[in-house]
Amino acid sequence: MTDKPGDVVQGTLDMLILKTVALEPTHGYGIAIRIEQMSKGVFRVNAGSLFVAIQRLQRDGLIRSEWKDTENSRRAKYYTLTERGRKRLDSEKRQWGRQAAAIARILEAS
Amino acid sequence: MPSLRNIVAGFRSLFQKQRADRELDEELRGFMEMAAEERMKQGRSEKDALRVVRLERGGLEAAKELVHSAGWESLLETCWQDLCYGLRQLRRNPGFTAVAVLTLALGIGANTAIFSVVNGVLLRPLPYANPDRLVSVQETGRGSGNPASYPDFFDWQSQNHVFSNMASYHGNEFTLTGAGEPAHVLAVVASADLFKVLQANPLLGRTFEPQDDKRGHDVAVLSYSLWRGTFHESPGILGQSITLNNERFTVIGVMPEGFQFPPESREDLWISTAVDRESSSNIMTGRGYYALNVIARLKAETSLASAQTEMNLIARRLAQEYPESNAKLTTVKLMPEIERIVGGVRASLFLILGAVVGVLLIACVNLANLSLARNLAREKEIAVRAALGASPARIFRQLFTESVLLSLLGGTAGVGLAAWATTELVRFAPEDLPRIAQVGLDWPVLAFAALLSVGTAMVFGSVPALQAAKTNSATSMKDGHGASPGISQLRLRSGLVVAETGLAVVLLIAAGLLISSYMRLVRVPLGFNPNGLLTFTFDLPSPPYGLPQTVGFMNELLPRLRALPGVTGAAADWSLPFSNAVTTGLDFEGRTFAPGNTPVSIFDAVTPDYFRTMGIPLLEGRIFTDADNAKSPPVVIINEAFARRYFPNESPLGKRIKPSFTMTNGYPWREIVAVVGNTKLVDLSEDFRPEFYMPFAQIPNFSAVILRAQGDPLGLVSAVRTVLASLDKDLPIYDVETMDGYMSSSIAAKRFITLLLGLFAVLALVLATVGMYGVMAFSVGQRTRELGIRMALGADRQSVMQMVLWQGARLALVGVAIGIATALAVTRVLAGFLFEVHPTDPATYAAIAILLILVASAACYIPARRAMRVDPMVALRYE
Repeated sequence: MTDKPGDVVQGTLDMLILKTVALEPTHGYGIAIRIEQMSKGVFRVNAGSLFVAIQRLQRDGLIRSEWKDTENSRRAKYYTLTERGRKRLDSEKRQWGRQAAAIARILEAS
Repeated sequence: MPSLRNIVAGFRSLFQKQRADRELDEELRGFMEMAAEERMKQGRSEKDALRVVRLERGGLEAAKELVHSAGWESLLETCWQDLCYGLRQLRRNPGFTAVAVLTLALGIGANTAIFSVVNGVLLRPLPYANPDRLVSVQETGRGSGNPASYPDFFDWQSQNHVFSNMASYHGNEFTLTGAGEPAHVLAVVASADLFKVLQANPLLGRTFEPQDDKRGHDVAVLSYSLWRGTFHESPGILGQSITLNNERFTVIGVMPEGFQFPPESREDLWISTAVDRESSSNIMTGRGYYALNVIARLKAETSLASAQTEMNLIARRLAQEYPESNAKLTTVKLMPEIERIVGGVRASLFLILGAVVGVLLIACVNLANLSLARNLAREKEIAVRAALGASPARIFRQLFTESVLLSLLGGTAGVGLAAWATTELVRFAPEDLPRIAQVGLDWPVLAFAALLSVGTAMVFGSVPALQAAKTNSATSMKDGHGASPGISQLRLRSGLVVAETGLAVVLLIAAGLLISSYMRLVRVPLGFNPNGLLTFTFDLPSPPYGLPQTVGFMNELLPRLRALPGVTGAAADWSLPFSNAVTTGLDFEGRTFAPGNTPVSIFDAVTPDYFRTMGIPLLEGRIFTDADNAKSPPVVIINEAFARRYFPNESPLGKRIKPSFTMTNGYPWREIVAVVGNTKLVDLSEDFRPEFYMPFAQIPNFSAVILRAQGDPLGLVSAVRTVLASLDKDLPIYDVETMDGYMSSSIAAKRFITLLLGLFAVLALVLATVGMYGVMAFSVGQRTRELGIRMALGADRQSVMQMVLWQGARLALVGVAIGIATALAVTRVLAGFLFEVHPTDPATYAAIAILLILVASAACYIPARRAMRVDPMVALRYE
């Protein structure tokens, strides 16, 4: 690991949360840890911005929550993807793919 | 835009705040603990692990705050907090709050009241369907006030393609008999299409049909109030006949409550033009007989401009066809009906509105000043807030909320004030202000008041709030008592005082000009003595009163009136001063005048006692006697202005003139038998005009009887009624008025404007003085230490006081200079309102400047005395 972990790319946190929850319902810390693990330590998720995003996604009806016990028998709020959320994730993925490819083309132009 | 779900969720977290908070708390704590456990697995102590997590992922409280403020509901919440806090602040400073609310209430209340008049008179649409399509049609080419003739109206009506309907109307007055007491009623003689033009439907029966214009179809449509008052809402009235001036009219309909036409008057009934066809005069056929008002409704797709083009075309055609009457009438004047009604008062109302807006601006400046001073006292509080993390935007919002709160309080009080002021305005408004009776506080006015309150808050609240939000927290907190003199603030406040002084000067000068004009107007010599004169009138319907009978009746009546106790004179008069002056052309025996320079004069018909009763002096010759009657040689009396204009170098006595006006037996030459003094006839502000008088016995027409009373003229009214009833029981008297009352209503509009502008100017002066005092008191308070040092170093009290006074005087002088410069530029709009006073009248300007400097010095005197009494020891220890 050469660089210090940084914040998630502006505007992509929502998409990353949706993706994480799509794999398996989990709680807030689970989401943060998974994003960090899957990004191989490139991203570090701040508690404040994570829960602001979660509140926003929940209010838009993209994720749903319920209180459950964790494997360590601690109570935590678990988040699940809704049907709306799945659709949104698909469209965001497509869009992101197009944008990323476009940016890469611009940056690699010689 | 937030989705519905978002809104619901927001409300849930608002109303179940505790539960939502608890959940978020638990969730975040769980998050932190799980993160810490991870660290502890790597061998850190629990305390250490928690510290690392806080560093890496942010603190729990900060996260909570972030989540809170991300929801829209948090905005509501902080607004609510600001409101509560603001209310507490206002309660804690009752003095500040009272002054601020009072200032705002005065400013907003005065504006709301005046706007209610502007709205009710100028802006409210006419009470007819699609009122913006209604057009008033007038002849042009004969000066002002241009009624049309019947033949021209018929041609306009039949030849135009731009109006869907066109109707003529003119007012008339009748005596209604046969239904209880004989009553004097106001009627409109209208052509058949009037109600079609207005698109108005009757409550009962029908309105006019084309056949009603024909001879013999005398029909009437009653107003609701006449129907209710005289006919007791009887539906059986339809088809019955009523008697007006001894002629019978069939009632065909009743209009609904609230219907009026013309909209600016109160008519009792509308009758068809059949009455004009049956009239003995040539009103229906004479093209030179201008008597009609015309109203028309534009077709849906037609613009006023294209209607104007077509009507001008028709007028030009008529001018060619009938050159003897219409040669000069080559255009037709079209204007929206509302313009005809309110066009004449718009300038006055806008003038008053302008003045009252000036008052509000001064109120705003004062409040901005007050808030600035208060913010300075709160500097430390604001600095602490900033240090605790409040952003400038947050501080701005909090202070601004306080301003909005203040202005809403002031606005509410202002609406209360306006409710009272509006009824007073309606009561004192001149009677000829159209539509004033319907003025009141309605929804548009209340909306205006609300808008005004918020707007006021923006004007007076934003400057101080911005200033406070900019405050540097570090320097403010360092200072022990927050008293760094705030030089820039003082400069801002001085600028505000200069601005409000300038505004007050402009208003005072405008009011001063109007007042001095008004004073000149009421002191104008009238040429007669108005005190103790009573005027009234009645109609002598023909039949039975033909011309000889009218003279006979007057010969009976006047001696009886003169015999009443307390009456010293009685006369009949055709054309009262300040009512309707009628002009005629005339010939002079043995003289010819160039065309375009033909002599004209106002004329009148009077009984012999008129001049003595009015107090008009005889200059040469003899007054009429009872011997000047229909059988004696025709005679005439002229006034001084007439003699001067037409007989400049010779005695007019014995010369003969021939007025082109007659009621009987042709146009005789009349011998001038006397010259009498001039009288004001139409308007106090105009010059004396030539006038001649003919004996009533030769021209038997009257519009009023005049009595001179020794005591209160109105005390005679019941005796007059008794005398009249003893001669004929069916003659109701009306238009009972003292001459003072006539005079007073002829200048009522000018008095109204002068009074209001004067009132607002005084209000402006008071507010500006309070502002000046506030700034000086503030400045002395700020300079306590400096003044103490000066005195400790040997300055004497006198010079300290002078220094402070001079500081205030400088502000006043700059304000006065700016005010005078502005007044020179803007008082030009007053020119039309002024009589014998120029808009740049130096005396008025000088008087106002001196007044303002005196008042400003008085306002500075109290702070200056306080400065003088500063104890150097106390002031220095203060630090």
